[in-house]
Amino acid sequence: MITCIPLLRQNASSRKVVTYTRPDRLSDLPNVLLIKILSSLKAREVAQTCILSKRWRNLWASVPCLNFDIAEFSSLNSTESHRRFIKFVSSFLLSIVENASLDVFHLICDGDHPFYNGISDAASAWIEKAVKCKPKKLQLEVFYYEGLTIPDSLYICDSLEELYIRMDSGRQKYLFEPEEVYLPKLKRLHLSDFQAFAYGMEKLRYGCPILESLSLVYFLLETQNVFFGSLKRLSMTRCYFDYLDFSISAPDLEYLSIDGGSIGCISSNKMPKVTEASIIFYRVEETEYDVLSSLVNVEVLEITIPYLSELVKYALKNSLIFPKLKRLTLGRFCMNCAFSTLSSLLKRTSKLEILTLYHDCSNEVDGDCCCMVNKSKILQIVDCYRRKCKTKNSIEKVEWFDCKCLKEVKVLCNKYTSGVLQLVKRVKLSTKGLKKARVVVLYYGRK
Amino acid sequence: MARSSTENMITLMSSDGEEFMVTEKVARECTTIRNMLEDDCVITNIPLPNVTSDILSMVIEYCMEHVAAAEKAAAETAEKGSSSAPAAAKANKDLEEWDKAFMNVDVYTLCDLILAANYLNVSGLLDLTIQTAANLIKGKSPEQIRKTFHIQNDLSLEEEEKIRSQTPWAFEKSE
Repeated sequence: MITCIPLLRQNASSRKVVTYTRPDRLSDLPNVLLIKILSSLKAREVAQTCILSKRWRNLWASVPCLNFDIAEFSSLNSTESHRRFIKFVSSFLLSIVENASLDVFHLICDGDHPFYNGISDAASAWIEKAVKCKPKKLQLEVFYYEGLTIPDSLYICDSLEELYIRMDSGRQKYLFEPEEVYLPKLKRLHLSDFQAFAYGMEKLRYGCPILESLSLVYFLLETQNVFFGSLKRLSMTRCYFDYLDFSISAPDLEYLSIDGGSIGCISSNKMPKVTEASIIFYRVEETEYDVLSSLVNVEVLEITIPYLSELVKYALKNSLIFPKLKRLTLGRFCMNCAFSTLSSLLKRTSKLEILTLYHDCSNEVDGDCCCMVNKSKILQIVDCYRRKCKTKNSIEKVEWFDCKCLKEVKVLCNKYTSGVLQLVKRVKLSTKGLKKARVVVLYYGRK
Repeated sequence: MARSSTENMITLMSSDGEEFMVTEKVARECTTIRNMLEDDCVITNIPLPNVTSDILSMVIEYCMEHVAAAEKAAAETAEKGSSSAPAAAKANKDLEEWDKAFMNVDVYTLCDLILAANYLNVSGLLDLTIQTAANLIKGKSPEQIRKTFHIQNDLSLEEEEKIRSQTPWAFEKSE
């Protein structure tokens, strides 16, 4: 017993000396932290840590986030890089424990190559293997998916909380036709470059009971209506519909984003809970604005549109109002041309607090706005503005902004031109009666 | 401001016996301390035997900066009624820049910070330091990684060859 005490002391002190002189602090971290560090690396980098030292020998095999990216294997010879990638992923997946539990499985690869095939069969097998490891998040990004089939087991992976699939191909969309969908924990779903019929969408609807966020990109929907009871966020980018009156029903939706596609077909029921929406129109067709009339309670709205006047005409005709709108962002067109229509739109947004205007005048001549034809008049305005002249003779008629709560008007421009100066002056005049309102000019885009 | 003067001050004591006075709000950024305070609300002096004074001062610096940023954002929201997206984006960017500058430390300090952030359970700092360490590994060969972190290779040549031959797929060179 007596000899034990000095021994222990000796041990303790010698250990202290070791930690003090040994400079390798990283390897001293506990496994759980080292695995955390390895989790944000790509799989090849993770695997290569096995020869760092004895400490690192087996760590790589227990990393729960796997990120396989064919770009890590790129070489001049694409056949060679495909071959190495297939060998790498297959060997890596063979080396991990059979019933390991995964957090993240992320695969970025190509489909079959004209000169080399085999990757698509391999990829389907990898996904099957990943699904067996019960991942929480699975992300699949396939470029030129030629030959690749998504295994049915992916759609019944009951551990998934987030699923992201992009099946990029220049030619054809990937048909969404799962045998069965059972994703009871899925909250976020992203599908890009797919084509779906009514039966596929029905399976999705019943198979994802707690889906909160759905994002569809380059999606071709051949169904007349979709219904998502639990959905809170929906974003559709360049989605096209085969039916002329496609309808969305999402009673709990809080956020809606539409970027192009066949907006004109969307007839949605009222979406009383949508408080934030962003819609990008590319064409000018009256039917496209129907979607706006469902946003009865929207508080934050961003509209990007080529011309404003058509929208205002529609608003007048259909008595469209936004009684709860607090923040409105409009763009990107020439605000000077649209100024009078702008003030009539603002009559429909009585609670507006912040107005953001993306000024974009594409037809500028020598830095001047397309609508400012009379050059001498421009100079007069600019001169007047620079001297902070109080006379109003240079501006035709004042268009009052009829929003009592207005606090701020932001003018965003990509360059300072006399057109911008005129716009700012007009905004200042229009908000003169509104004591709280201030005008701010900001740059956007490249300097 | 009046509120902060009446706010509780907490004394944190490092392993080498140095004392740091911080507001309760800053101390609460550390989930470990928050849990202690919630278990026993009269506690004012907390010894932290696993954290040295230089590392503790850095953790406090991080927490203070992040508390200040959150307070500023909250004040702006209260003032304007609703938060303005570009202003929030700028504030976020500023904080990111600050984090980036804060992470300009040597690898020893970085590893000590990872341990401290893990022990004190400061999730933001843990994510930041883990990511910084990962970025130091990214794109490097095993030899370069050893050099960066002073990892002593205790594998004999034969052992290393054996491992390489067991996992040849991981080491195929791309030309």
